[in-house]
Amino acid sequence: MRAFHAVILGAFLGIAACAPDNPQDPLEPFNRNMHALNKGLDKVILRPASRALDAVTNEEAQDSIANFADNLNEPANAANHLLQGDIDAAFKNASRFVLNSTLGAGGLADSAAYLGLMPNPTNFGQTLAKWGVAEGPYIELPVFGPNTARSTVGLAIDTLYDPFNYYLSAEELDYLTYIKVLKRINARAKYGNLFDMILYQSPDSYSATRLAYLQNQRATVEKVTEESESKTVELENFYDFE
Amino acid sequence: MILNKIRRREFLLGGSALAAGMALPVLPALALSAQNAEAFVNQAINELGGIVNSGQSGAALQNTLKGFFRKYADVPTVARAVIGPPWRGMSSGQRNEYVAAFENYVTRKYAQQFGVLKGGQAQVTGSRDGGKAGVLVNAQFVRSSGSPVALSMQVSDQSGAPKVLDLQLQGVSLISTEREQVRALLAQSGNDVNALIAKLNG
Repeated sequence: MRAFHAVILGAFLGIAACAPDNPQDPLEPFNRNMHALNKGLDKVILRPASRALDAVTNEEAQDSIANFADNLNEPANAANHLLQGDIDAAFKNASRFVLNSTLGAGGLADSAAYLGLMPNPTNFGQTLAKWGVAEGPYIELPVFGPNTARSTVGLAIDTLYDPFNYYLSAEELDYLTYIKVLKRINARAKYGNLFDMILYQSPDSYSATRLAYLQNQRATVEKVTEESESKTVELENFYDFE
Repeated sequence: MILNKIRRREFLLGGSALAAGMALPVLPALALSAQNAEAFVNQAINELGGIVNSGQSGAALQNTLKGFFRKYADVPTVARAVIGPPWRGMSSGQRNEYVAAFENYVTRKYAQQFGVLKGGQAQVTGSRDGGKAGVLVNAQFVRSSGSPVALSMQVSDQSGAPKVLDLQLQGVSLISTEREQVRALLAQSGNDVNALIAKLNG
C-alpha cells in the first residue's frame, strides 16, 4: 500500500515538472516518459512472465485464473454499483460472488454465467463518472499503466476501501496482492497478441495505447451513465470528404 | 385563349413533373432504417463468427477476411477516411494501390486479433441512429468465460447499398486507430505515399 502511495505521489511530482503542449493531452511529455518505463517493464518482466505462464497453462487454466481473480472483485463491484444507485446490478454482483465462491469451486469456474448472471464489473472511477466528475487529463501511471485523472482517484479509493480490507488479516491481504499480480500476468498472456500489436507493432505505441485506452474507457463509462441507452448517437459521416 | 391556358398549364405541370423525375435519382437516398441496418449487421457478424470459429489461421484466414471485408465494408471510403488530406494529392493509380495495400495491412493486422472472439456466440443487441452518417449497430460476442466482447458497426447506405464504415471493438474504433497508425507510418515514410504503400503491403 505504501509503495502504491509513493508511486502516485511520484507521478504527480513528475507531472508538475512538465509544461503542457498538446491541449488534448496536457501531460504528454510526462506520459511519454512513463510509457517508455512501462514498455521497458513489459519487455523485461511482464511479457517474459506471461510467456512462462503460457508455457505451463492451457486456455482453460487461464480462464480459471481470470475467473478466480475476477470473483474477488465482486464485493467491490457490488459496493460501487450501490454507490451508482444500480441496486439490480449490485444484487447480481453479490449473487455471482456467492454462487461462484460455492458452486464455482471458490471462484475458479464462472457458474453464475451459466445461470444467466453475466459478469458486470465496475469500479470507483466509473462511480465518479456517474456522479458527474469529469474525466480529466490522460495519465500513464508507472506500473499501473494508462489512466485518466478520474480513474486514478478511483483506483486509489478502490484499493483503500476494498471491502476485503475489513474482513481479511494482513497476511491474507498479501495473498490478495499476489493474486492481483497473477491476474495481470494472466491477462497479458490471454491477450498477448493485442498487447504485442499495440506495444511493439505500432509506429507510435504511446498514442496507440492512449487511443485504445480512452475509447474503451469512454464506452464503458457510457454504459454506467446510461448515455449508451440514448436512441441517437453522433457519428462521423465518412462520405463527407473535403 | 382558354385552350391555350390549359395547354400551358399542362405543359408546365408536365415540365415540372419531368424535372422532378429527373431530380429524383440525384436526391440523397432515404436514411437506412434501424431494422435494415441491424439485419445487415446480423448477417455480417454471423459470417464473421463462422470465420473466427473455423479454425483458419495465417494466410488462409487473411484471405477469408479480405473477402469478408470486401463484401460488407466500403473499403475505398474507409481507406480514404484513414489517410485523410493526402488523398487529394494522390493520382488515381496511387489511390488504387493504396486501397489495395490498406486492405492487405488491415486484414493481416486484425487476423492476429480475432482469437479474442473465438468460441463466442454473436448477437445483435440494438442500434443507435446517427442521422445522415448512418446507424451504429451494437452486437456482442458472448464467450464461455469472461465478460462479453462488445462489437459495434457503423452502417450507411450512402454508397447505394448498406456497407460497414467503421467497426468498434470494445469501444475502440478501427478508423480512429488506423488514422493515428497509418498517418504515423506516412510521417515515418517522409510523407512519401509510395513508401507508405510499400510499408502497408508488408
